[in-house]
Amino acid sequence: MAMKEYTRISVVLAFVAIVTLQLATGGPETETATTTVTINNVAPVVGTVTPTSPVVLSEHTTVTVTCSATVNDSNGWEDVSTANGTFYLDSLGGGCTPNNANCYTNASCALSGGSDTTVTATCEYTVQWYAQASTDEGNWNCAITATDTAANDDTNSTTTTVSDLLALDITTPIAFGTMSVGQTSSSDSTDTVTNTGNVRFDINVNGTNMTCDGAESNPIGVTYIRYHHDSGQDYSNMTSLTTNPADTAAGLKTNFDLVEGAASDKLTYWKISIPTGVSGSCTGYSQFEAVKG
Amino acid sequence: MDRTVRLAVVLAFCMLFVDAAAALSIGVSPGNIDFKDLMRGGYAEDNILVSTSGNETLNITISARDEISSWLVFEPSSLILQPHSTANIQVMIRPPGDIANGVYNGIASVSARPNATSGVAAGAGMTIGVAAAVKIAAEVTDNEIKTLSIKDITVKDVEELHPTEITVMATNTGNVKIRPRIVISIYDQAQENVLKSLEYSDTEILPTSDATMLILIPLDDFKIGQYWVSVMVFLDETAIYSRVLTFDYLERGSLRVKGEFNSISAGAWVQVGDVVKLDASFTNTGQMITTAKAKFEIYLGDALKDVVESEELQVDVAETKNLVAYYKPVVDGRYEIKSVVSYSRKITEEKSTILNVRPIPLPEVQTPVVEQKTDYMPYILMALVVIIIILAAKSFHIRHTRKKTSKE
Repeated sequence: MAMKEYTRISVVLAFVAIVTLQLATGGPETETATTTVTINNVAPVVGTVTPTSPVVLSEHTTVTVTCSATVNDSNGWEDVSTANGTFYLDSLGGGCTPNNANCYTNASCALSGGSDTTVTATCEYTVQWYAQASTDEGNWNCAITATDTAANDDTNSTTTTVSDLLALDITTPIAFGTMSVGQTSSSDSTDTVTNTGNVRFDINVNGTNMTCDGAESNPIGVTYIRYHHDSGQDYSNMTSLTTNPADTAAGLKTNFDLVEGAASDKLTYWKISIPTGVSGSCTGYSQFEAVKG
Repeated sequence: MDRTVRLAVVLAFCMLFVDAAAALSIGVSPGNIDFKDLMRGGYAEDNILVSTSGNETLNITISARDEISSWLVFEPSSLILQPHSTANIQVMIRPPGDIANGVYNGIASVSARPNATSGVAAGAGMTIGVAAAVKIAAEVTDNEIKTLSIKDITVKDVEELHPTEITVMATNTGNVKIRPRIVISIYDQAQENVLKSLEYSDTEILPTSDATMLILIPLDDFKIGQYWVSVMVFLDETAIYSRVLTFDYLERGSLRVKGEFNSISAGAWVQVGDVVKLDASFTNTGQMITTAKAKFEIYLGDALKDVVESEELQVDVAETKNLVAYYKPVVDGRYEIKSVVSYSRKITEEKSTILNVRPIPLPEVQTPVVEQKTDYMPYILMALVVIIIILAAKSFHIRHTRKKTSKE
């Protein structure tokens, strides 16, 4: 009798356990309806970056540098939500502080040509004439970072070069004013030389004789015109201009050292002595030649 | 009156440069050029970009000086540079055939004077000039280098009765003249049969020079359709580059009708049941108004789930239209939407995008119930199983004891 009782209780409890198990798992109908697919968000991958190479600058103005890369995202090209980029002097690293000499950023690069899982990211930079030259400072780097809708991101970069730009601007003409025969300039006439490129330079100067329009006037020989890199020099301490740029004084030819930069200029100082035998208005020609220093 | 005395009382207006405020500027890039591995009697070339930000029109002249001045030629050697503009100057160098190996130096001086007709102040005919000196170094060697870099190869679609055009762009990166041999084979659409073959070697390329080789291939006996072309470039007997391209041989007038399928979008992430906007951007790049319609094939895995089409819209010349259709996914998963645009009996190339469809999340009110089941049910089940095992063991023990007792 006891055995049968135990057996009966065991069977009932087993049945209760099975039913409970079914209830707990939701039953057969629920099982067939809950086939789920988990779509993981995968970070985008930035392919090879193609920059403008080399970057050739233009005198005292800007040029556009373009860097582009194909971005691949397994969740589809539309999952790539933004792209940003940095164009910078490689030695500074990608975390550089933006400035026109060596670090440019673009917080919103263009995304175009999307298809399937790829889209092209294009970053443009308006680069100034004094961006540092690779010959002096080393390579530049173009980095692109792509971010998807889940804030996953990836970065890739490629180096390029910025060509040196040797450029100058002469803003102030030299005028000696009204003088008498035999007179020597009492004060300096100045001329401003501005560096409008991205490399330091020295200058060579040369000129021609001055012709005068007075009746029967002789020309003024080029050597009567003198110059110096310092102000207030006595005429006798200054260097005579010649027709040959190779004759330029060391103060200009090798030690002028006008550095690059957004606003870099230096003055040169000029005097003249009027010889006898001249009259009228006298004119001449001189040339400032920049040579990379 | 003594002439000297007379002149002494005459005021001499001596001005060295212009007497009005003016500015002259010039820039050259690069600031120095290094010609490396030049062969004796050989040739090389490079370029200087001249620029100005000034408001004056400039007369530009380029001259050479120092020891290699006679080796240098500039093209052009003079030019008019407009305000705020740039110009390119080609620098060519030809060292003599009897020069010793070594490095030689020179200067290319780019000088700028204001153009006389530009209206720049030139007080009493005085002028001011600026110049930039490009340092040039030339390394002469007797080591022959023969290399060629292929920049690009293209082939054009053509209408019937016209030859197809294959363009090969290359740069001689060595230091001797080279004449590349280009072998071209045209295949049928299946890329199984060669329909035409030819070789081209008409172009000689100087060291450091670029060359664009245009090869015209008559297709008189070809039928309308798609073809493939294999282009192989040989330097001597070595194949240095090969590429397979395709082109269409079209009916007359076909090229006037052209369109570009710019992009397809569907939104990257949606939820089951959302209505998804499928958008195909199409631009009419031809010369005639056309109508365009996009067809979207919707795949889940490899299974085609649906096909939807946009309305047919008129697209004017140079106009871009968005061709739109809608789709409502009922199952979650990673979909691929493939699309083509049909216009004027033409079909664009296929573009696709990915659509990630998430399941509908469970209602928030059910969450505690689910969590409660998950928390306690395993313990209840385990307790029941333990009880069953204990009872079964007890039953077995009692039965075993009774059998033993009855035998005794």
